[in-house]
Amino acid sequence: MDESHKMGFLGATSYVIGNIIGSGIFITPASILRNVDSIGLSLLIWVLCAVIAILGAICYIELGTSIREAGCDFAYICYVKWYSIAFAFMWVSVLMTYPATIAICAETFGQYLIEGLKQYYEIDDALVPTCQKLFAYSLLFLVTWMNFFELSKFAARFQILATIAKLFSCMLIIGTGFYFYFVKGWHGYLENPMQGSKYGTGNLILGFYGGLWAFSGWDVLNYSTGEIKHPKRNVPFALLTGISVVTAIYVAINVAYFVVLDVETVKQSDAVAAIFSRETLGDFANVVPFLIGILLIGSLNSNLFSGSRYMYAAARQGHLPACFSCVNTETESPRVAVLAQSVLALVISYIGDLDTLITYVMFGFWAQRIFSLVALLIIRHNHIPVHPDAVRVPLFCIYLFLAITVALVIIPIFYEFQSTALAIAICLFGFVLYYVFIHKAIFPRWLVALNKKVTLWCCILFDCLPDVKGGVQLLASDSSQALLSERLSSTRLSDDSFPDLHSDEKNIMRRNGSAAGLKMLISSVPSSLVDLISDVQ
Amino acid sequence: MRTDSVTDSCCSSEYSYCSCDCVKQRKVAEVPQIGYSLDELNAKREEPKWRVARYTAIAMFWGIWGALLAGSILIIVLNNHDVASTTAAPTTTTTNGQ
Repeated sequence: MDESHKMGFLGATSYVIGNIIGSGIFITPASILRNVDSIGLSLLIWVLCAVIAILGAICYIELGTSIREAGCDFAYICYVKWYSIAFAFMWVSVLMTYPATIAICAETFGQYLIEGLKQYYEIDDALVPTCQKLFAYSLLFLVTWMNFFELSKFAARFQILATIAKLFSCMLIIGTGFYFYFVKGWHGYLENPMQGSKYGTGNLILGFYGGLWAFSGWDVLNYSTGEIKHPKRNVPFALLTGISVVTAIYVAINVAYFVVLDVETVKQSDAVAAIFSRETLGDFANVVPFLIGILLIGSLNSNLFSGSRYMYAAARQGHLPACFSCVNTETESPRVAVLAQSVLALVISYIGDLDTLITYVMFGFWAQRIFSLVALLIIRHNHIPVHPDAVRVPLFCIYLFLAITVALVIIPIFYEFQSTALAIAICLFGFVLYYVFIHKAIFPRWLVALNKKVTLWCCILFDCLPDVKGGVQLLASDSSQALLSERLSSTRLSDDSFPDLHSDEKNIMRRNGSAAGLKMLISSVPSSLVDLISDVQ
Repeated sequence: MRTDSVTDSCCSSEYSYCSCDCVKQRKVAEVPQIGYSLDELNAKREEPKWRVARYTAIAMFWGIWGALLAGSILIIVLNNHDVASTTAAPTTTTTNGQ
């Protein structure tokens, strides 16, 4: 790979910023505040979440550069031969983490839409939740249908629109908040920031879940280290700078909210930005719900894309029924997996409200990270051979991040067992399935026949063909380890790699291959973004 | 290219493994075929039964979507009237006699 095509410090930094800032900042401030009950403590949690994100990003740089197989955490855990654990967490991701993420984006879209419509209609308060759900589900159906067809050009342009909506929303909220603070002198709610704080351990952890949700995407450089100049120097600095910028933006947005709104108002709605705009923007109040609605559609589309591809990849490996590996040959869309993710999202949205869904996602997410980190420590201490170009990080970073991760997973089990029980149950179920179908390879004749029957139905109904590899394959076999030293030194974003949770831009980039739609903006974006776009291509 | 490889994976009923794989995995003489070949699928797709099933599935999909959207719009429109009528209640003025 030519050195001149690699990202420099500025390109990598903007890449980090673009991938982290997303719909989370417009969804979780209310969730955090409901857990900690004070302005000062919620702002402190945002800053501490940034520290955790930086630590995690650094640790995952080593994982990503050491183990360059597709599959992210699945591949890392398989590398140390913990196949059953990797399989169990694959089930947690397919059945809970991805569908819950989709459900959160859809429901929040419904809330922002209702807040916007309230400007013109008086809606019966008793029916508002029902109306939100109906709007959310109708949007989910539309996005599902769109994913049945690979509308590359449309998706690329829409992603540009979503990015513009994201940046404009952030700047508008920050600008408005600071205008009211400095020019109009509103700051009554900020004068006693720590008033009403809840310091319980469970409250803090659940508050961290909300913040870390918004910071999702911190592992994005994990896949791009091979495309960065002088990675040992640029990667840590790009991560530190990028996450610091994101933190400043997030804290500024929260301060803007609290300049205008009091604690109780923020806690009562999940569409905080819409209420903020109604209080401050007068006739332009509907601009914000509209912009954030576009952004949420982009996030929903991205997450549905990720979840369906993950499910499809697992089915290709033989870890899920064959019908989920069916692909429409014209559009290369795994339609059965797309529909399955949508249906699972509908089901899971009835299991809990926004805070519960966030707990579901983050618990499963961080539980898997524990095992990835332990795998990394075992690789280091047992000197297991890895890719020769691996970037090493200080051991204390790994131990510190592991301690934080364990706390994030163990404490909620005691304080919110009902929320964590679902993930634990799915995980145990995954272990049982692994033992029966992969370790023992017990396939009853009726099950094989049922698999063929269902696959036939799906092939015909969805106009697809199955795409299963022969037999049941596991990643990171012994033979592939022996071949690692002969691999190319650089790894570009690959069509074969698994999509990542919450990374909107990266998923759309992968989906569109050449990122043709983004070329429309090349002439008008700063040079650092031009470098970023060129490198990603 | 893609169609060929997909068809091959559907049609072939035997897989061969090299010797080193035999050491690490159970040798599988034959893996059950999953799905049908492209020609078989095309033939089945045109059968009246499956055509009806496909169109029914599409109709159900858009029918549910329409119901969801109509439900949300009806809630907004209808209850708007109901709420408006209650707020239009006349105000009674009381004269305080001295």
